[in-house]
Amino acid sequence: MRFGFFLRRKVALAGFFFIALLLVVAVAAPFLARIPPQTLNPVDKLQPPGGAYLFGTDNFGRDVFSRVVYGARTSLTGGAGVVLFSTVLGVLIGAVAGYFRRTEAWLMRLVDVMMAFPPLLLALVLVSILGRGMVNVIVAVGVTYLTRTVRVVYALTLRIREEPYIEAAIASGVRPFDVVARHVIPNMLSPIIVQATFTFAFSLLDLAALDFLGLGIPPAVPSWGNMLSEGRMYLTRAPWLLIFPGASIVMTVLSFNLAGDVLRDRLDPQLRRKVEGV
Amino acid sequence: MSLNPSNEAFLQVRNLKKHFPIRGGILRRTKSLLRAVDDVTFSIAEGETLGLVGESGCGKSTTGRVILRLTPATSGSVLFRGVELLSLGGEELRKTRRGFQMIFQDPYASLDPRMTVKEIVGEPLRAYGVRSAAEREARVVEILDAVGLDASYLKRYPFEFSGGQRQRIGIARALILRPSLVVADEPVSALDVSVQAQVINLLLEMRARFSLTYLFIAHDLSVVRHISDRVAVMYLGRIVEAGRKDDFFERPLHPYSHALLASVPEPDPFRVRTRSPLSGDVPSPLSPPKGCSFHPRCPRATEACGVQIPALKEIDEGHSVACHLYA
Repeated sequence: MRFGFFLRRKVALAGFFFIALLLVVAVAAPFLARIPPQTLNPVDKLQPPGGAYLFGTDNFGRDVFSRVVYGARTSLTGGAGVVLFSTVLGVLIGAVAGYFRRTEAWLMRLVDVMMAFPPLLLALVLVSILGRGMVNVIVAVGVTYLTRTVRVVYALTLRIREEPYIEAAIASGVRPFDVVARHVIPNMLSPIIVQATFTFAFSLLDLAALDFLGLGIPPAVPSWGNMLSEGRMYLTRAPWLLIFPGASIVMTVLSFNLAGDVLRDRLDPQLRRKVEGV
Repeated sequence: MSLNPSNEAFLQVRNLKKHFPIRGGILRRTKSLLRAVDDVTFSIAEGETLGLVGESGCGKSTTGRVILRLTPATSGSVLFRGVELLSLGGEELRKTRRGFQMIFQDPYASLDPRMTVKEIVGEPLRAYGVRSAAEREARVVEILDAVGLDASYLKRYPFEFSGGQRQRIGIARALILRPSLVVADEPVSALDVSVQAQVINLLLEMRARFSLTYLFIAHDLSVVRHISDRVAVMYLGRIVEAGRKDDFFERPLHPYSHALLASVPEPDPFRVRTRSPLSGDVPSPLSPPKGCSFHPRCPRATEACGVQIPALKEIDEGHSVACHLYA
């Protein structure tokens, strides 16, 4: 991707910058956080930000900065996992159900059944069955988004399969699976990317909710969701316990949405030429 | 050249029917049938161009799509070089498709907007096992040159082209497999008049160069006159007249053909013309009139026309008509 293209969209650049920053922070967490996130220091509990602790400390005297930094790891991994899981499977199931109509009844009814469960309940049940842990939490939350992605992809497939260029491909002897892989799916990349950015954004909140209910990531692992739930008791006394993880979630969600917009334009060749002025 | 089915015909369509069920109600029961193509029979000899004309909605495009197996037929038979296309399925059908290709009406919607010219035109090769990208590219360049497009366009996307250029891309895609039969479904009706002539001439040039057989579907009689060897006129899913081009244009038989020919715009303003515009609209194919489907609009209709469907009969040599006037 050309750098000049992003420069022209400064807001988007800010989004990408924040994501890049987040990635660096997540990767370099051990170097950034002087104090390990689990270290208890009851003497310094509930210290306000500034001074020895940049973001202050929580009720156990743990360094909030360290926990936010390590939380970035947890949140990014969790969000990316949910997006990967729900998008890859969702596109496959949705496109197959929409294009190969014989599979439609089976696949879509299965999806409808899953959609009938309240999302959080479904996630809770799945975590209870699978047990806690990152992968299981990703699957539990991902299933909810999977059903939505399947619905979106299915609807798009029904529309795209009627396009004349699909008929043209069939007439040129393109095999059915190639029609799906080379024509149907590429032509819905933009909405899928938009869907993926939403999925990423909202899954952060769902992951946090599971953590909040104590059914997410084990509490020993710092996550922004854990921090919010633990800090809520000190909302008035120590608002920084909520401000820093909360702001992190907001900034991350916003950045991914901005980045999604740019990627959508970028993936549409027609818009790309216009924006780049080639 | 005969319209009557003969065994050595290159493409032979017999009693072809395509009925769309119209469903309604909670149980989606078939309420009625839309007879888009109703008992169509014709044949095309190798190297010949048959112009299939009719008003929009008369079933001419559906006929083309059914023949190419892009939509399933209700009944009938389509023999392409002696092979029954309607009974082929799956991979067998796909392999046979090599021999017959289609040029689409809409040069905008029929090219995948996310593919480059190289990918679009090279895709049929890829589908039929040309794995080497270099070989595909060489053949794409070759066919692009044949249709009058420069190799520098390879990496461009469809939206960067004009309608005429896009149709050239569509023609290149249809011809890269060197098919013997090409169904052209209103290939110029979406183009500017000035570009239409260029594309028609390109189709003529390609016919000579690659010895193609065309089924040319159109509603524009002047275009059909230019390109066809024979003409078949469709009305409400049926062929009402068919014959050699000169016979048809000089001595049209069916009253509907008369009306169609009278509606062709006359470029000479001083020529006195007798216009016999048709009154009324095309009846709905959902409930076609009893008897001859044209009789409610026909200026020469008799009592018999409302009772019995006239069969397509050969009146002169190679000139057939489905009309009670010629019984």
